[in-house]
Amino acid sequence: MSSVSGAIDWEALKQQLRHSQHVLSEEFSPSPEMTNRLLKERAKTLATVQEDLQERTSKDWLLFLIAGEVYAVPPEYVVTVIPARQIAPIPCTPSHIMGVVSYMGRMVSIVDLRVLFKLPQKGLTDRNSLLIIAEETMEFGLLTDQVIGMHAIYENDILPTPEYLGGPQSDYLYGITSSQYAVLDAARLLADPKLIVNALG
Amino acid sequence: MGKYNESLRKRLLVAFTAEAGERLGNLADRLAMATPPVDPALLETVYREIHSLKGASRAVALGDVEILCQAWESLFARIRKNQQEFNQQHLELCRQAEKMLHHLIKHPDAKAPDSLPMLCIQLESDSLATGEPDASATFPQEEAASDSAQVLEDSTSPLPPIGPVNSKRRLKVDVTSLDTLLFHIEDLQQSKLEAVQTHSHAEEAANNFTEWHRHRHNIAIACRQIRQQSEHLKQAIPDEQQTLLEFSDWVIDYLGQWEYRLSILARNAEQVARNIATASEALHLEMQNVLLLPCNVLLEGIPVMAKEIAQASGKQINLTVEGDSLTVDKRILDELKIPLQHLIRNAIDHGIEPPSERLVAGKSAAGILSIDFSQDDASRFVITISDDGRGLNADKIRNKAVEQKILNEEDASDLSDQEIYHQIFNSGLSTSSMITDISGRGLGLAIVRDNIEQIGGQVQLESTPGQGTSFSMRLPVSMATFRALLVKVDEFIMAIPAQAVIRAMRLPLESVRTIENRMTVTVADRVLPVWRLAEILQLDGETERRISGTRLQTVQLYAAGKDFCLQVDEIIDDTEIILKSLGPQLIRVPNILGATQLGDGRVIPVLNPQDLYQTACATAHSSITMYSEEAPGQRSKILVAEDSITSRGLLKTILENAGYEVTTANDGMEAWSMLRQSDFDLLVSDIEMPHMDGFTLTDKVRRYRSLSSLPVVLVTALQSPEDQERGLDVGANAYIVKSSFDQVNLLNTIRQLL
Repeated sequence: MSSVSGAIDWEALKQQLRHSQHVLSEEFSPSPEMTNRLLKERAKTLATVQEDLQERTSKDWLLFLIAGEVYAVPPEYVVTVIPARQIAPIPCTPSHIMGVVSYMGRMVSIVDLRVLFKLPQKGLTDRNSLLIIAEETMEFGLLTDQVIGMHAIYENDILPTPEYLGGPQSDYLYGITSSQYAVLDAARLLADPKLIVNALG
Repeated sequence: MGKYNESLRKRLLVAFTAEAGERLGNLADRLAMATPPVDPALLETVYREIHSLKGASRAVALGDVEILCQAWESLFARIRKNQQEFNQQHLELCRQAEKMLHHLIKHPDAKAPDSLPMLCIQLESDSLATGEPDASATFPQEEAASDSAQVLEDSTSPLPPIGPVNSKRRLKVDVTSLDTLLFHIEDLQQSKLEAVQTHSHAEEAANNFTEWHRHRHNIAIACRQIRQQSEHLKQAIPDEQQTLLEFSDWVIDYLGQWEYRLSILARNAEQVARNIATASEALHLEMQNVLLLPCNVLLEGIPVMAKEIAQASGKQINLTVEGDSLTVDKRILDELKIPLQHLIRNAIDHGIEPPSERLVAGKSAAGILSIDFSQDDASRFVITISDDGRGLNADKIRNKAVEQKILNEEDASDLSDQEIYHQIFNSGLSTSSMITDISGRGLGLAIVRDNIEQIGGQVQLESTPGQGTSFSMRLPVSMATFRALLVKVDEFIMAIPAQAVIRAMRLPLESVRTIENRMTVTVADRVLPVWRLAEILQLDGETERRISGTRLQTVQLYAAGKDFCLQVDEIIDDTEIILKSLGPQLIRVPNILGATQLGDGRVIPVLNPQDLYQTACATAHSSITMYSEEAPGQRSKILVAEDSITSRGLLKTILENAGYEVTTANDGMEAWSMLRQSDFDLLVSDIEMPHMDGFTLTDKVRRYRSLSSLPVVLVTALQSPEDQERGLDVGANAYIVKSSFDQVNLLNTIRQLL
């Protein structure tokens, strides 16, 4: 029906219909061998799909933005997301420590990943959020430009960090996805003694 | 079914272990402290506890525990029956039995130690006793048990079934849920502040309609005129105008509704804020009470620990406790556990002498170790831990301090013995072998002091050679009673723990002297070092290092055993704070003790005075040049009090253009409070202002001692000679009438006055 200018070519249509009917009747009265073959084929296809699904298990990750780059953290390390307000600077701390905030009656230190990863910095806006992450004994917040939300990432979509990305962040990266999300290794970040401030008096 | 029973037993076992742990803890401490003749009340307690434990162990089918309790009970039964004295041997048996019981309960499913049957036999037969053969000892166990039960019932003082009866009903609460509750209450306080903020925003928004009222009036008039005109001329209103007219009508109506809604919102917000405030304050207050615990919880396990240490070092001690019923905030007590253990260990290990040495010195063989709790004032209490041992050796500390280059020889010999004793708290010192000689605890005493200071306390130490040492810790009763001085430095607000603050002083610049490139000031005949707080904390960065005014705001501190002064920009307030740690990532930040949240929600750092002193000493000398003379072009600070926005803006612009630093106040009241808080060189004030007029303000300024010489310029629309006279009467230096008000006149006047 490529032509819209003329009237409908009824004859051609009817012929097409007849042909389709013929093909259908052929297909739906298959010989036993053919049935067998078809079933086998289908079983194979199904099996492949199954295999594919197994390979492509996905997990939800929490995505956030820092200096225009998308980062992902495993949600099991995330305590909460709160607006970046009232961060109290603490004198005599290294530059990657932005300060502390009060959360649930306790003080939580805030790490500025932009300093740690040597990313460009700009002032805080309303959209800045703090992502508090924790494991058993360690807890701190990460300053983000914006928290995007939960997003499924296929396990096999996470590729090892390329060599050329040997920047300061590669220490804390679990990998990079094909869509260029930097997947953070929260456990390593939380366990890094370099991030801890413990000056002896 | 078997499975069910098994899981039930497991659950019961958990409950039993908890119960037994508590009973035993108490028992062990009391046995450890006991010496013959034993207080009959203690015997009753021990007896009662064993009996309860026996019953409980039967319920969870802990046969070994039951057997031991039974044997133990029979010991008591026999003593009672024969009216025997409870002697040292009995006490020793009891202690062994308690240890065994502790072991059995700790490992409920393990095989009982081989020594159990022997101990049971000893308990039952009182094998060490020499008295006539005891009938009950030969009784089969079952009967011994019933016998002892009999004794219990026959006992003259009827015993309550479980534990002491308290007229007040008490409830055991999981500590973690208590902590969570506390956090929530603190969060609620934050919500309270936010609600107040929301209310003021809503109110501000509603009040902003005043401006609109003026426009509305004009628009309504214009609309009416257009309509009347068209009616008058009998001409239809053009479409464009019609659209505008309709829009105006709609806007007037729409904004009218909004004004109403906003005023309702503001009122509701006020109500919400008030409700939250009431709830939050009530909860906070109640929580303070809930958190109060008697000090004896702090002592759990201490007597046993003390006994063990003494035994291990071949010493004898008598531990006494006084005043442990005093109630203190649980959070304070939690922080005291470790310091207390350190001090007890030190006292026994190094204070108290071995029995032979004591006897030679004419002391009792057993050293006396006492822990006293006493209320100091409404908000503070004191724990004193003292021993009657050999005391500290000042010369030894002196030598070591010199050896470690912590003191130079001259200083060391100049310092009094008491001052020298305080060196043992020095963390720099205590890592050395020297402290090992004196306390053997390495960093121990430094940690003790750190812990105590963290919770707003102070440690004092007294020692007399040959007579003993005593540590007193003065601490707040409640976490909320930590007072702090809020200071402003380089736009930052910080808190200094009040216990370290001696006084706040505004010093004339001339009083600051420079000795060997260091700033000093003489206060009450003493020369004290002065440091800029901003410099110690390295806050300066690119900011201007300028001191305005002729005075230096300083705070005199006493920390690390030293007096010193810090220069700050401003003193904001003296307030109560709750000190919090900075979280697990910031374990220890130099110069910073922790952080706190102020009433308005701001989080600010709390400074560590001791560190400040040390950092200051390590920092190269302060930049003196900025103080030694008035910096050229230093700007005078002028406060402008004026209620009209226009006049205020005008005055500010004129004065700032003339090179002055201008601060503005919206009325006399505000100006009055600003004048007292910070330094100004001159006041320019309107006369007619709400809350407090210019006359009253001037009068107050003249009557206030530190402000009495402040130049005051009144600027006003009032031009009657009477007013001018009144202005001069109350002490204004100049009176400028607005109608004759021109820049030159004003600036000339100010220049003359400054």
